[in-house]
Amino acid sequence: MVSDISTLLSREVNQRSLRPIVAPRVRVRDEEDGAFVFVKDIAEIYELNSTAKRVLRLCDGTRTIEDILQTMIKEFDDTPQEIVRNDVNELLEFFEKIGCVKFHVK
Amino acid sequence: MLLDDQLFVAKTPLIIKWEITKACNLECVHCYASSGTKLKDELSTREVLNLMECMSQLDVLCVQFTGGEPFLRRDFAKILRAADDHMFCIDILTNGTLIDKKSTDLITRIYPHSVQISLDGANPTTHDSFRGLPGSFRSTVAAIERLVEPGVKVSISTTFNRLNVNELDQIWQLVEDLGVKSFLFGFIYPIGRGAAIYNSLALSPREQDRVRDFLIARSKTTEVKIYVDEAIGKIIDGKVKPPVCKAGRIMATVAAEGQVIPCPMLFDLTCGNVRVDDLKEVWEKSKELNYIRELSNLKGRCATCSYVSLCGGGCKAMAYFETGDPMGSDPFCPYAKSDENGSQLTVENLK
Repeated sequence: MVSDISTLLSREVNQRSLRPIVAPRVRVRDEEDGAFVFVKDIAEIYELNSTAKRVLRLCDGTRTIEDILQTMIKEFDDTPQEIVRNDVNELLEFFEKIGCVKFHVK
Repeated sequence: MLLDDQLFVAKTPLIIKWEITKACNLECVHCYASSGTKLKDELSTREVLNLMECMSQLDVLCVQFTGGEPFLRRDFAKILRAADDHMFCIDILTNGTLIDKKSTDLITRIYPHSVQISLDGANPTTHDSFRGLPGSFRSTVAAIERLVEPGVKVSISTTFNRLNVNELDQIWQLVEDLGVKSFLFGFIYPIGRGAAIYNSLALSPREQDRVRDFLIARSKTTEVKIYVDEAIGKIIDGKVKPPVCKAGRIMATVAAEGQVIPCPMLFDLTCGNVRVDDLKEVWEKSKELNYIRELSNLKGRCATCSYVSLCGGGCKAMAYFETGDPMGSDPFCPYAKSDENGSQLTVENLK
């Protein structure tokens, strides 16, 4: 089942168990220090830095939001957890807003 | 970020500008490409489709179709559909005069990143005199209206010069009234047919400043995104910054007969031909591309300018036509202009 995050949240699904996945009509082009993302449905291109690229690459439909948060917390172990959590959550919200990722529940 | 980093060279082109034909139904007096007549050996439909396949494999993200007038190609609808199937971010640069109901339906369906349409006056007299075809203003405006109505992202492009600068207010009013998403402005370049009229019609630095100031002021109150031509610079936080040249770093151009060139204005600098050369190999090994990528090759004023790390030496095409060397000094550099011509732009406000 695939749905948008607000619908899922309104159904009181535990947000942490949602599994983000890159949406079908999205192209991601990796560069060494970042990535470019083309979202076909809004015909817009976004430039991602290396952190945003890493988060997007973790959105593979197998990991929950909590899995992604834990991975990023480990990879940024010199940054306070709360900051990593906020940044990752903000990124995921942004990805959802532009139609770059969808969320589903297993 | 990557696009502002002068040292960033993408592994393959991120953007392909594609002069899909040299044919044009208009005879614009300032056309840098000197478009008009179709060339003898333009890429065939099959070659175009094959190249698109290759571009897709190279992970090219954006394709900007330009010309000439792209809609003069009988197979352009097929080309657009193929580009859409490959999920390219599509831009179409057109004079708009050939966009009929059928083309509008196709464009609406593929929903390009932008359809950029040239408009050089606020009325038929001014526009048509530049464009060389009576009635072109009417058909261009009709095309813009037709595309805006279903929500296509249209950008109006205007080349300011001595004959239309006094219509600045009216042109802007027209842009707002037509409901387009963005407005791109530039000035005449001494390139192609523009060379013949440059001395008589190009704006002085002060006149250019007036246009910039007017539009920068509007950019703070309008929903229309305002851009300055990439050969001149870009607007950031209400200020015009020098151009960050994309040629050879993230962009290559394919000309109508398959030549690979750094940008449409550097048509003398052939780096290869897609008919016989592998595009990736050209991108990696071309002497010309590697030459313009290397900042230590900059000459003249740009070689010693402390802002070179911000702009990378400005527009290589302008430098080429001024000095014969793409790594010469960019004659339109706003830093230099502020020094030499009493422009209101200063190094301080460019920082």
